[in-house]
Amino acid sequence: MLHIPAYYEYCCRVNVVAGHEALEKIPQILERVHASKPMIVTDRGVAGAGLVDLVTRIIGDKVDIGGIEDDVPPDSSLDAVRRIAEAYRNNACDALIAVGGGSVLDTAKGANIMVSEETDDLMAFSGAGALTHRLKPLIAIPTTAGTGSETTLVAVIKDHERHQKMPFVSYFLLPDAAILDPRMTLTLPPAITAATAMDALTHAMEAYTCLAKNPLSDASAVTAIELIAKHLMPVMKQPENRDGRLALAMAATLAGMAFSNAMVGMVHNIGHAVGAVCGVPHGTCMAILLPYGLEYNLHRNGDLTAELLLPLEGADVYARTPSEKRAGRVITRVRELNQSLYDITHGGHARCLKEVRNRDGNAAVPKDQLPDIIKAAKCDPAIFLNPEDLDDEDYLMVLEHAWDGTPLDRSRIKTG
Amino acid sequence: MHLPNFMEFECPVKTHYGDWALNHIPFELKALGAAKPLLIADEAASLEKRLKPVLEAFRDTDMTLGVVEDIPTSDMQNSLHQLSAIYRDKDCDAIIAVGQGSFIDLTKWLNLTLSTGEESLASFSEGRLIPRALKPLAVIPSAAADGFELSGYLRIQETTLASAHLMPQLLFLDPRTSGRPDDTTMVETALNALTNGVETFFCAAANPMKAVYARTATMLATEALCQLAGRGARDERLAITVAHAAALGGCALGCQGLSTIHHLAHAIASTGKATPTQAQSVLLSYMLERRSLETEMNVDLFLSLAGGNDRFARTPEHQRSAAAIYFLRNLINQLFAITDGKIGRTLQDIGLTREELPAIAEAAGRRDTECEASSLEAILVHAWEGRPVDGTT
Repeated sequence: MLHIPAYYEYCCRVNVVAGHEALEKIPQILERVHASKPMIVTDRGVAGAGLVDLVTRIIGDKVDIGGIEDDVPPDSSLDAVRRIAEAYRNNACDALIAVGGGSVLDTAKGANIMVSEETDDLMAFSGAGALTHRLKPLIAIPTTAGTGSETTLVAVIKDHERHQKMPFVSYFLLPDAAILDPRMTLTLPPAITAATAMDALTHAMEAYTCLAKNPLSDASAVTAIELIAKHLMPVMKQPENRDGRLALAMAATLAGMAFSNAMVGMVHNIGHAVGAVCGVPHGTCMAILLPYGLEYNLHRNGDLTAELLLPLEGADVYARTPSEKRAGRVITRVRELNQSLYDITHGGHARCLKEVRNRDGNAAVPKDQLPDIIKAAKCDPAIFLNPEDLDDEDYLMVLEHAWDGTPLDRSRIKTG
Repeated sequence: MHLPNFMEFECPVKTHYGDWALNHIPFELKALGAAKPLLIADEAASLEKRLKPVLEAFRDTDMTLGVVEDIPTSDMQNSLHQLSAIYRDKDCDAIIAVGQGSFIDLTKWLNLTLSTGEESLASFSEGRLIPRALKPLAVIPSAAADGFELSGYLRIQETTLASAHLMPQLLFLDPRTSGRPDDTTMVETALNALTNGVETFFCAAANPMKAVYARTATMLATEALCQLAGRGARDERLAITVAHAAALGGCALGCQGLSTIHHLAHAIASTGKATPTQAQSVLLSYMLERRSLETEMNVDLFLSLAGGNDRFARTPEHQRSAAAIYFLRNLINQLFAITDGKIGRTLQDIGLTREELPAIAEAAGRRDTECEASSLEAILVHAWEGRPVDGTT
């Protein structure tokens, strides 16, 4: 169904190159953006998996690589951004190639701001609309499927001192090219495959059901959901499935296009806070919180959620489900998906906040930290386009249920 | 959805749709580094007084706006020279084009000339790359469009260039400038959009990125056509819906979107007997029917796009493709009636003789990479006779 607002904007100027040998196009793309000495930005995990070596082997003697910076932490950091910007300048680079997940892509975007604006004060450019001209060329090669950061106008950089995730929003942050090659995700561990796909699903679903939706973001979202619904479990069962990996990569990019143009809502709002306070990976937060966001907003946008049953479960389920039950079925299906992912990863994919473990195996989200999460969520702007408001009581209710893994008591949701 | 083994997709167009969309032009041009745009309008835009809201958008800005109205396309080269001279003389740095069809081709040519210093299209058609960053080009189309305005195609006489870099960077769809064309004109525009959307969505070169624009164009076009055909109440925003559909259909086409139907329509139009729009409108259901024989094309999805999710879901799976074709043919039949036969149901309706079909097929076959001439002729015969395409085609 077409939902056309009184006014909307849509833009995705990224050149998307996708395929089983997409990496081989890198030299050509660099030539097109008039760059010859790129800096590669990545993290130790990606480098350790041999993915950077794969890229450098392929582009080999065709490209003069200006340097490889692999010290990007999870959730990025201001320090990493500054370090990379300095290395870029010292090595006289003229482009950035980001090989990695969301943190790497966001860090590269942050570094791009610094080298293009010739500044040491990244925070001066935080928020929306602070950039006013084109940045240096940036090629994004995602190694997860994923954050969609390769096609978004957003970068989120963590300020570790203030425990806050700082957003940067501008069309100038869009990479010049996104290269989707299934070789980049073939060895992605199961739990990360699961979490990042659920991240993409969340992007698509929030973009479709929140307030800034438009026909093009809707089309991006629906296509993404179709692809994830069709390919996620087959890839979980058969990780070497290249066609499936490529499909999930495309889905993540499409979901990125959707939310880049329609923004997100409370799932991201709370998820950012959980990530900032407790260090939980973004995809894990999204997977856990998605059904709660959909459930909480039901009285406002249940009709929109209901429409997602078709791409999520197909025509037969859609037809068999009475229209007034479709939204509920979507939420149930998301929970079932989380359960299936939990089962196939032998508990590696958390279904609720209390199941999330940190690197030491301890509970990552102690229940007594929920008030801190609420405090952080109230400072996060992702709530602006959520169809319903949340006060402290609402946040606590959602978090308590998400912690426990129990559905919301909808009678406690304050409407309006 | 059919996933290709390799794809490349780029759409540099930033879409602004809706109320007061034009008011964003100065900001967007500034963001692209422009300060002195040249506003160029075709004869229709000048006649229909579509420039006033564009001029008002610049009233309280510090930008210097040059205006040239009433540009003819009867002598494209002459118009190109005139506009180039004005642009250079006034030291402009961006183009705002208000108009449609071949006029937008002219503005793309102008932009290419001014950006590269090369007026001749021959060097580009012989392999010279079109550079990435042409000067900013904003297009304000109306509801009387040929569907190629936002595409990456530049067509001047017999020369066609294709590049994503030829696509405008900015699109503005504002109810104040969609115009108020008559119903037949809006039907034609919406059919152009539908053809571009459907062909891009269901052809062999389809990919999920193009599908975003193709899906939306198809839904918008169908909604507009149903209103024009008298199915349901007419929306006061019909004209902008038609313009919206055509623009997004052009985005879907991009620079890799010409398919069998376009080549056939071009060959038919070369006979002088019908326009490309008339040809495409007849051929669309037959091409879709032919594609329905190839299961990976998922032609049944057209029923979802055009008829809605509920209709799609309620229709038994094995009947969906047929229901999709039936929906389209029924719509064309209704449009035949309301346009007094200008939109034909068959190739016979639009004036072609059966004897002309082999030559048309051969001409199209020289450009088409999807079908051989013999298959093209078979499609044409079915479309001439009004007989459904079957497995023998």
